[in-house]
Amino acid sequence: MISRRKLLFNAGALTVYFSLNPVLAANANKPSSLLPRALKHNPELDAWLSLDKRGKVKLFSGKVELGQGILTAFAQIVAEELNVAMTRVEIINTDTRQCPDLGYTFGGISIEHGGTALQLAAAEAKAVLLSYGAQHLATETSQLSVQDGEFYLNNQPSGITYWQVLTDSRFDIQSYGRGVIEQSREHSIVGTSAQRLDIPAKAFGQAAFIQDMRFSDMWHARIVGPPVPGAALIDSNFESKHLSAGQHLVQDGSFLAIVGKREESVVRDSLTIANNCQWSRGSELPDENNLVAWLKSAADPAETVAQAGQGKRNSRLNYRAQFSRPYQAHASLAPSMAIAKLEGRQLTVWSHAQGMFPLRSAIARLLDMDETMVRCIHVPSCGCYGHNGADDAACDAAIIATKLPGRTIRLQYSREDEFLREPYTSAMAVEIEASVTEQGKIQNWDYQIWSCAHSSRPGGAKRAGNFLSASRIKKSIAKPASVPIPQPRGGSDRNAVPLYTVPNLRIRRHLVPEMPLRASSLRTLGAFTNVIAIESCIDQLALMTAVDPIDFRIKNLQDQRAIHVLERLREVSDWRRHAEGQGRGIGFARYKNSAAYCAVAFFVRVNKATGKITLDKAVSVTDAGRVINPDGVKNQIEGGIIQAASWCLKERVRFSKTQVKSRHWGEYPVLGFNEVPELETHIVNRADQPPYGVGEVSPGPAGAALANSIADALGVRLHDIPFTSSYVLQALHNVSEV
Amino acid sequence: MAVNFKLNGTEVTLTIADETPLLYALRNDLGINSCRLGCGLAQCGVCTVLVDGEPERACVVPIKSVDNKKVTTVEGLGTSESPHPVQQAFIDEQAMQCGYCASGIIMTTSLLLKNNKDPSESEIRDALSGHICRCGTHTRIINAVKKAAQLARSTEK
Repeated sequence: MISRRKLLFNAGALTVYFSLNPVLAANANKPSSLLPRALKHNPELDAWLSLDKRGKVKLFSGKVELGQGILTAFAQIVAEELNVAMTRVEIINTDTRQCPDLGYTFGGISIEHGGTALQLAAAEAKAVLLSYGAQHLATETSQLSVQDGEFYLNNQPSGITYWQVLTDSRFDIQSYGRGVIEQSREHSIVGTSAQRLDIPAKAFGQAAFIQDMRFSDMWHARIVGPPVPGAALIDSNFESKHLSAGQHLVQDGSFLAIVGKREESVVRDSLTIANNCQWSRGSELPDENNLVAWLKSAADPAETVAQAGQGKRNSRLNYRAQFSRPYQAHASLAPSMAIAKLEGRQLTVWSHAQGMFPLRSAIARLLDMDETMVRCIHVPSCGCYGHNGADDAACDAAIIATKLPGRTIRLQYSREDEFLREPYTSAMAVEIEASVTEQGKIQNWDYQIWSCAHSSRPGGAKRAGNFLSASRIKKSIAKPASVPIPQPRGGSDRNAVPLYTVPNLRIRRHLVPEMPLRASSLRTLGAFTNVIAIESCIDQLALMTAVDPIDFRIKNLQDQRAIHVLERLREVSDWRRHAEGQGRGIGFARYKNSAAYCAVAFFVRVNKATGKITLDKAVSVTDAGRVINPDGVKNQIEGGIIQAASWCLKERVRFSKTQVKSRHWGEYPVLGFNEVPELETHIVNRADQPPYGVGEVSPGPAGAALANSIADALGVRLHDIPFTSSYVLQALHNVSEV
Repeated sequence: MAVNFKLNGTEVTLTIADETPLLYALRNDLGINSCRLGCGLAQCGVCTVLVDGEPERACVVPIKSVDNKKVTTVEGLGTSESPHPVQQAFIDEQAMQCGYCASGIIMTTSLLLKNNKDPSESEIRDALSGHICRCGTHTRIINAVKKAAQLARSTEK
């Protein structure tokens, strides 16, 4: 008897199902070399999907929900490919014990990479199920179709379903690229604005976040830490009078935590202990008012990241400027937390960090444990926008759990902990020198960046030293040296190479290796500053040559999709000043020069007496290729625009030479309900193109459009973020003095 | 000291320290999910609940101060079977990204609509100005409040 599995591997099955996809069919008798990396690394189909006896399809997610709606999009992809109702898809959050390892959920690549791999896995699962169905019904697969998991034989319901033919619910095969992806066919679920699966629970007060997990043996924990990175505990002679009855003080070197049954008592004791702690001075911080000078003085020599042409040619029309961004915080709404438990030698960590597999390796390394004895499970919290305090909270909870075996430890950072402990986005300076011909063609482009690295994630065993507590515990691990992310993705130099055609171009990057303030990934990394600098320069060049800013961009672009979003934006934004004194500005970028295209037009008014900037409206056009969920895309684009406006107008981490002062929202204000603009969001759906992630697409263009609209309203350009009202007044004053 | 109050219509009694913030009592003693820690300083609005119909930040309200009062959280507004208009509107308008700010905003909105059946956009913005949304979902939330007002008016007719 031929086993099920063997049948599947027979060539007959392959030729029947897979001939529709020429790429995969050509490789159908061996695992396709063209399979996405995610599938090659996680070849067991059961790691991606399985059937459940209750008529469900289990989707084991390798990407995590950060409030971006990724799991809803994934459910749509699986429902579409398997021809089942979305309600049948049950999602398993990333769990190192049962989900595929897709690394981090970051960089706006979840749909592009994770989604594409998942789609192939689902198509393959369907191919396998069809072969079983055909065997069961003694027919050819070509005679079969599927509706909501039921096989239809020559378009008549057969009464036989997926759940009857895959009897043990597992596929038990390796992914091979057997699946058929027909992009051109009619989609009924992908491409629709399916409602987010997680929203109802959040609207009705059901358990929806890691914060809502409760265990009967759960103990609360708070951290006691220094006000500045690099400080060590000098006086650890705590008297027991500082602790309430039944509370524990966990100490390991300079790592301190209070643990107890009542959360409010733990909070109170942690404050008391903090008041009785003495810390060494720690690292000296740079002058917050002279960050550009500090960056330039502390930087390594330049590295050229891109160069073209024969060097500079003379031009009369030159523009030269410097732009900067201060340290800015992720400032996630919920302070980070984690839950950890050590049972025997097995450590389980529930975390809202962005990568459970990298977290597992790093925790195992720090605690000197076998990686197989550490299990990390993702449970959503609030939006993180990059590497915030989540990984550190997971690490800290794990440290505490190993000191108190058998207890479930719920570690919760305070608001102040989160502001003090999270890695910020690095301060950044950019110098740009460009010239243009009298015909409005860009001629020369010389661009330099000064910045700390934009990633210091504790990802994997080699980078465990990036945990904040790695240097504080007795068995410490040193922080690894800063390593810039190479092009084409780039870190500080992400989107530093303009998409415009430039005959003579040089892009240089200066890495600042030291980190007096810890810096790591914030949404878009350096792209935000680079797109603002590039697009500010482009507007100035357009102004010099008296060309309309949209025309100028189009004139210097060759990419037709780029030109299309700009043309659309001109149409839909009603590209003119709509009120007396209103400024208008445009910003455009293709994210990473390789993903989605986005153009934004901002309309603002600036009160020249008070310096107050009022955001009237932002209109955007985005081309992200094939769209899985249009409303989900809009939501991400809109969020990116508002967050960018907040970064531009309000945000700056405040600090003195010895300590960080931004410890609560009063010292780190963000854009509020009274300040946000009206939004109009347009999506160009290109069903024939690969899908691109959209999480990081709009902040750069939005920031640039805002900067350009302010320059248009004021007649003066602002170069240094944040564009506060006092800065507006200062800039106006400086001009009137000239 | 024992504290007695009505939580979402049900009488509860707690014997915990007087100064315990209402937030921790709701979460750790009474199984409430919707009221969550944001800042602990009454700055962000995440933990907003109604105490005798008035908005309060549960992170700074000592439990003793709700003695003999009525506390309402999102759980007390409606259910998936019978949603409150504000809850329905937030779902209809998909007015969340991460949704962590939603509970507090839903509570503030429920109060706004009780006092003002047809709030203007600037009244909505003012009412929500004590809430922080970090994902940038503001405009959707404003639309959801308008939708909620519509839903509430149409169910009254």
